Amino acid sequence: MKIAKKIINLSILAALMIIIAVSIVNAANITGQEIIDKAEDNMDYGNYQSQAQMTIHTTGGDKRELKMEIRGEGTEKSIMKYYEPARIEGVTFLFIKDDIWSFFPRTGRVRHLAASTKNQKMMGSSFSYDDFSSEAFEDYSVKLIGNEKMLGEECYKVEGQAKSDEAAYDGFTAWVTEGDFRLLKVNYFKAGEKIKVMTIETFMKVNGKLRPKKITMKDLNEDNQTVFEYIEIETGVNFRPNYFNKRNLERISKSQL
Amino acid sequence: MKKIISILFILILISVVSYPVLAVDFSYGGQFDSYLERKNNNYNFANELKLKFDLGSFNYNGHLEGALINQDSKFANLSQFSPDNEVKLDKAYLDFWFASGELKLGKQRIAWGSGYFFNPTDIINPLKEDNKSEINPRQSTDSIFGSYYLGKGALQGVIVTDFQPLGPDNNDQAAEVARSINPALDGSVVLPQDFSDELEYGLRYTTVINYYDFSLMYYQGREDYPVVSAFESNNTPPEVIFSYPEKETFGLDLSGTLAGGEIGVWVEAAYTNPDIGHNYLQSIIGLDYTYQNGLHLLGEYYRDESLSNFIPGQEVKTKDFLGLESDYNLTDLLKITGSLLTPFNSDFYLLNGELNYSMAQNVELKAGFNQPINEEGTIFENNDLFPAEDNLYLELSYYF
Repeated sequence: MKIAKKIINLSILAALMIIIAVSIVNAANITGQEIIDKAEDNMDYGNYQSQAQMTIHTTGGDKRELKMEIRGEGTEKSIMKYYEPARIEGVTFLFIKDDIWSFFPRTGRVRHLAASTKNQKMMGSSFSYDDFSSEAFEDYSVKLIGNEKMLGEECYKVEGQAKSDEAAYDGFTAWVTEGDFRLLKVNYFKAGEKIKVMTIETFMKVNGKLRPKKITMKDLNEDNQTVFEYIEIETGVNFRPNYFNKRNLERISKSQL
Repeated sequence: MKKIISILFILILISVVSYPVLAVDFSYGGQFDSYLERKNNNYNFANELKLKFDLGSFNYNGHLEGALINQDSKFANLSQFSPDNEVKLDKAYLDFWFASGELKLGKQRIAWGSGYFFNPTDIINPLKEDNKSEINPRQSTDSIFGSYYLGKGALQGVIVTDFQPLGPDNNDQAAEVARSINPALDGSVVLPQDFSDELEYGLRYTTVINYYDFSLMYYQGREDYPVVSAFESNNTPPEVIFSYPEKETFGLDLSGTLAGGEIGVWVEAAYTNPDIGHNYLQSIIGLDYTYQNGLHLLGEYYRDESLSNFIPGQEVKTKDFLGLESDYNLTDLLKITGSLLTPFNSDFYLLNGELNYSMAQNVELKAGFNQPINEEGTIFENNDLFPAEDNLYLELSYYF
């Protein structure tokens, strides 16, 4: 009887050791691409509608506050409409994967943005149009280069190199938390120089997971920064069919989201 | 004024009826502009309060936009300053959206085409007469617009119910124009006789082909600018008769990107067959590119074969034009823009420069100039069709 009990205990111990060993091996084998994919999954709010604020701190020390309504379906489709300040009220953008369309009430026209425009500052902020694109990390080959503590948390440190000239930056270094794959910080590089730093210091629980609430983008060349923050967010929203369509841009520009 | 009150009444009625029943949103806003311009040793000063109201939901929208203007457009010094007040209705329409399309009724802007300096297919709305140094400004027209979705594309139709001439709209004005050509002349104008004579129609099919927005259009209406349709030399004094000929226009429009999406490109062409004058083609091709440092360059080539129809007594050889523009953000708050328009076969240039400063969250200051060079002896000298006058302007805008 004692022998049987001993065999059971040893079997449990062996099973536990195998589970731990497999976990360790898996953790060690995780690739940079998998880490960045999981980090991007954490930015997926599902079907959501939200209100957000962009605070632009200009080089000269001035401050501009832009408010917007955002609706999204996964990470691939979103619509962003500015409602404050009055100067830009109704300006609306549609993001579908790598494509961006704009509608400006003053011209009454919908325009597809050329790739050369996507790297430019979005509405005068430190963010580029491309930073809001769902495929912000798709244009890079990513590898894990180590583990490092960042903002007090144990993180994977990954590095991305642009696959082609179409990428907004030449490369980036990102820190992603080891436990739950939250993106904490990204340094963006161009021509070997660090040009922008994005940090995510505040998170909120959405659909059971911690997801970004407040994102700061610093432009090191121009010495300005922009803070993007969700004011409120509602998930599980049902959109009418074909809602994320460029033909709806003018209509959305005029109506409350 | 009666018309404005009627539209206001309809919008208020709709809002009162629908507000308790439907989930409607009401919003309002506007801007206050102060504009000072120096032109030909005179000043033009205007204060303009623009207001807009929106009421509706995702399925419909009522929009009202107007302005209260206090302006003296020509005074040499402060002692002559004597502004007039004007109430202007810019837009007033009801817009309904359905699963299969859109219906929009009222005074509205229908933006067809994709050109920047010139828009040969954007012929539903005439150019604005009280232009404040804007590029290609358009005024709204009373019309009925419908769009029916067909797969990726849409079939659009428009009926314009109110013809707005860009020239004399009564005999006194026609006489004034005639006398400005030759003081010995008199003038009169032939206008559409009745409502059915005023109607204009447009039809457009728009779709996406291989990532390019592509449209074909047909228009039946009138020239916005007057032509000399007759000269009565037996009258005393001799009389010039102006009219706005009927015309048919066939057009196409294409816009997209080149070089892997790096360069924006647009093309427009419109072939017109007017009742008076010869048939003509108007076309543009434009490109734009933004450098990594934010410098934006835009170029547009324009060919216009119509000018001889509107300039009496001469065959205009100037048909090809080039427009160039560049803009750059000097700082986060200060933007500089420069543009140039020039015909190919002449030394004439029209230069424009503008600084735009975001003074505060909702306050913007614009300062700029227009400077024609070598216009003497060209068709651009004292030409209403292409007003090329030197000016300096300053505009302060507050948005709320």
